[in-house]
Amino acid sequence: MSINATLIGQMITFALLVWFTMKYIWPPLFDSLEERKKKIADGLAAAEKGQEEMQLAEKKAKSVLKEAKEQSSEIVNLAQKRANEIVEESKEIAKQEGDRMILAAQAQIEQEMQQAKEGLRQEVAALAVNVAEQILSAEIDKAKHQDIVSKVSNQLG
Amino acid sequence: MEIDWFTTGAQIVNFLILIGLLKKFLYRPIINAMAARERNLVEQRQAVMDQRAQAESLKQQYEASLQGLHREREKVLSEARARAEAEKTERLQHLDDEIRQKKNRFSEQMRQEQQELGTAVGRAIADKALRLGGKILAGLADQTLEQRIVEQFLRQLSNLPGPERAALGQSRTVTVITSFPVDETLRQRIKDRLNNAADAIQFEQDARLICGIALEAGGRSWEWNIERYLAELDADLLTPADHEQLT
Amino acid sequence: MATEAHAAEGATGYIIHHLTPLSVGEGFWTLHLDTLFFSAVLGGLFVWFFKMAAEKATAGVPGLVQNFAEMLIEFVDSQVKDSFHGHSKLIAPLALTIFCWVFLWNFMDLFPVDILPLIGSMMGIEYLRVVPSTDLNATFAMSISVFCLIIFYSIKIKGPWGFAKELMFQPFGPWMLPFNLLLKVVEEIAKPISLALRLFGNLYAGELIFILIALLPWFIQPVLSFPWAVFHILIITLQAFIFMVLTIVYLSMAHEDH
Repeated sequence: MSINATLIGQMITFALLVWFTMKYIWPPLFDSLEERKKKIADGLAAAEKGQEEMQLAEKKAKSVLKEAKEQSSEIVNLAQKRANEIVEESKEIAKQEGDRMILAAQAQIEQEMQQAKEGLRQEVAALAVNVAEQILSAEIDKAKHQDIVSKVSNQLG
Repeated sequence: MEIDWFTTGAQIVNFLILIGLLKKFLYRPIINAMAARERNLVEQRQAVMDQRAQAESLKQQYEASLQGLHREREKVLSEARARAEAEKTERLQHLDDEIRQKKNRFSEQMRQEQQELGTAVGRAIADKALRLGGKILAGLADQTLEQRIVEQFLRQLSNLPGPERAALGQSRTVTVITSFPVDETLRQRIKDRLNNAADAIQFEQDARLICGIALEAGGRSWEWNIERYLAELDADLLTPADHEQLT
Repeated sequence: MATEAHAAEGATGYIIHHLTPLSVGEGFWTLHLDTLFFSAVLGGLFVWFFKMAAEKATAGVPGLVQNFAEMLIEFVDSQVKDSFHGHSKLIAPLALTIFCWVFLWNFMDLFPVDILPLIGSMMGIEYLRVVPSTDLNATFAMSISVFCLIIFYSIKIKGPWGFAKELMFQPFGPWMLPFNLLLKVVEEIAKPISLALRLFGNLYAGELIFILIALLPWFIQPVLSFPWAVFHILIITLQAFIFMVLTIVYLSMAHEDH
């Protein structure tokens, strides 16, 4: 075997083929490889992210739960407090009403006492006249009687 | 072109070695890696899904417990309301009783006061009335009045019940006390009325008997004067107070 | 390019020289050393490549080599899943090996026809045929291996009697037994022969055309040789694919019990 021009022609052909392959065959192949790799990486990253999100969600759920517990105790406390308030309020109302009732009763008593005194006074006046009448054992005429009664009454007042 | 079977056999061996190598040592690890990756992804996805389901159930639980809490709150509040209502009612009832008691006490006190008033005021009033009467009497005091008083006294004497009259009749000494001077005519008339009983009749004068007349015989006395009316007045004053009961 | 020895014989001599294998031995004990050498080297390349992938195989993001290997495996696996309905742990690696190896054999066709024989002649090797698939021995070796597997699985799945029944009573029933048998045997024998001859024919013809082009003046060569080479990229891949798919299909048929 010896080297001649045929080899040059074949080398040119081969170079062209290499160029063609580099230009048109390799890139799509490489792209598809890259795409596949990217897909896998994305999938793994998504899974990773899902894991992270899961942890985050778990944390959040825990905090929410804690908050809920606090809230629930607060609700109960508030309810308890409100209940006490209601009781206190009703006590206060009852007390006020009671005071009012007492005042009213006292006023009534006062009035009744006044009335009684008044009645007593009248009674006493009548009595005084009666005494005089008895003493005199004589009838004092009506006008005179009235006169005496009012006089006695005034003196008593 | 002919087939050299020896070459073919060697080539077959070549082929079998290749397949054997690939199948035994090379194919498995790559396949395993792929499967592991796939499994990993599936597992992680599954884990996320599980977590989500768990979170969902937790949420439902939480909501249920919140509802329970609300119910509890309502219960506590309604209980409190009921308690408050009961307490209020009880307290008012209590107060009502207290007031009633107070009123009763008041009326009791009132009655007492009235009595005291009756006695105290009554006396004062009686005194006043007496003095008034005295004034009236003083204004009217003359022979006729004195005579009248005596006559009234005598009428009363004659109206005495039997036993008293008998006791009076048995008395030795009779003393007639007057607040005013008694003239002879009147003395005679008194003597006349009493003579059947007494031996001696004495006449005395006592200004304390405000225009009155009294008779003392055998340790007993009958009188007709203002003092006596005072006692009556006392009794009288207390009675009208009873008419007006406090409620 | 003509060697000194064949110069007198001109173009025909050149062609014959190029298509003459490097052989040792006589008669039955003839070995085509070039075919064995290149197929072994290419097989080693294939094994080396997958070894690289296998050693660094990771469940995480794959490297370039692993990624390529995985892509090949997935491609072959999808073909197997499409055509093969039985259960076999061998068939996927077998198909993968056939595809890759045949492809590498064929790929030798794209090298300039004179370059490797020239290097060989420098080392004192007179004859060198670099494309194993232009050797009937290589293609038949592979197809006969597949044929053996077909027979093996037929007997394994259907049982010896089942396989024999299939040979004797199908497709025309027991009354046509000899005819059935003849038909079936021919059908079975035709499988490896068609496999081997198809590959051989395509590659041999392609190589022949490359050699013929090499006889033309050097400045004309690229004009003809380049399109043919580009076309051949398709041919070599297609032939490897066809060999693999037919192997899968035949083995699938062997797994199907009637």
